[in-house]
Amino acid sequence: MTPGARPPLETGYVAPRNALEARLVRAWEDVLAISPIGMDDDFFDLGGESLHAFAVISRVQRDFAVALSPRDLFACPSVGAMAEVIAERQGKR
Amino acid sequence: MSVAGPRLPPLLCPLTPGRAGTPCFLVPSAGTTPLSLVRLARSIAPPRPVHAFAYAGLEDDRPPHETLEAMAGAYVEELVAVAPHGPYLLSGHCLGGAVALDMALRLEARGARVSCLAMLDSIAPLLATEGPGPGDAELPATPDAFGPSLRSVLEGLVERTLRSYPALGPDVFERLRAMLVLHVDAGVRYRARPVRAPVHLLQTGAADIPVDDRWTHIAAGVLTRRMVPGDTFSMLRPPHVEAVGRILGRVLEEHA
Repeated sequence: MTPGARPPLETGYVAPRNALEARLVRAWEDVLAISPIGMDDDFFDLGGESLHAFAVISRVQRDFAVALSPRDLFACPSVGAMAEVIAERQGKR
Repeated sequence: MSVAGPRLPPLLCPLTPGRAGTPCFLVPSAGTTPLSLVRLARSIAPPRPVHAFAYAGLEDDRPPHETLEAMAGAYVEELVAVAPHGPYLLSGHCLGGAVALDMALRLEARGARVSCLAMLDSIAPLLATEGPGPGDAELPATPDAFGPSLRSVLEGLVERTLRSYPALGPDVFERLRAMLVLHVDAGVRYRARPVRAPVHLLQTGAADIPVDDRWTHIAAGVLTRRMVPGDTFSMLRPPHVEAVGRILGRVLEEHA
């Protein structure tokens, strides 16, 4: 599927700042079929819905071995915020 | 004495933190999560707090509710815990409308007032007076019953999932499909009773939602019908969601 362009958003584009964010944003871009996605871009403003959430957490489970719930998208609705949660959970192991 | 298990998050999920006013409680469509309603919640104008209910077992490890009554019963318990007194503003999307209806019936049975029941592209469930329907054995095949449209929605969802979400792991996909089937089945088996609350239908006119007059038997009081843009799914997305949010917002405002 050819990704769509980043829609007009209130947040400015912020590029990935580390390897974790770079890997996670690829998952988001694949699932939402949008590129590029900035680290602060809001999941819902990007058009994210229920099934996208299931797809994102499915990819996070596969790529990072971290189990998230769709509801975690409320607490971490951006790649940057989700990367922090993933790093934190990986660090606890 | 019950054995305390790991603490589960509530099924009730706030969608619009920080807003003031009379809250609206929303039930999502079959197999979907409160996330699906975030855009609509943000578009409701004038703004008010919006909460949505999650289906047990869809995004947690709860055993799923196998009947619509069990869903509605659990949601009402959580609802009255956070908002002990009505009047209540309830709404549901697609199958969630039937769940919201049963919640209204339960609240009215407790003596509470439901001041608004807004149905977002919901097909009217069968009536208790209609007796056992074809849906009791399996999904019905008659064109005017609750089942076929939901089944087509289900099949459309499964198809769309397969096509559009390659990143969905097979285990997640199977879990979603099983939950969708369970929800549709619960909707087909449900039998509605007349409700006192004003019923407001917001309908897209999508070809797969039959316009039937069963709602006139379910709404014992006021029944209104408004057309909204989009179809059952696109009504929750830009660009239609803005208009749907304004229309729903006005309906809620009249009753808040």
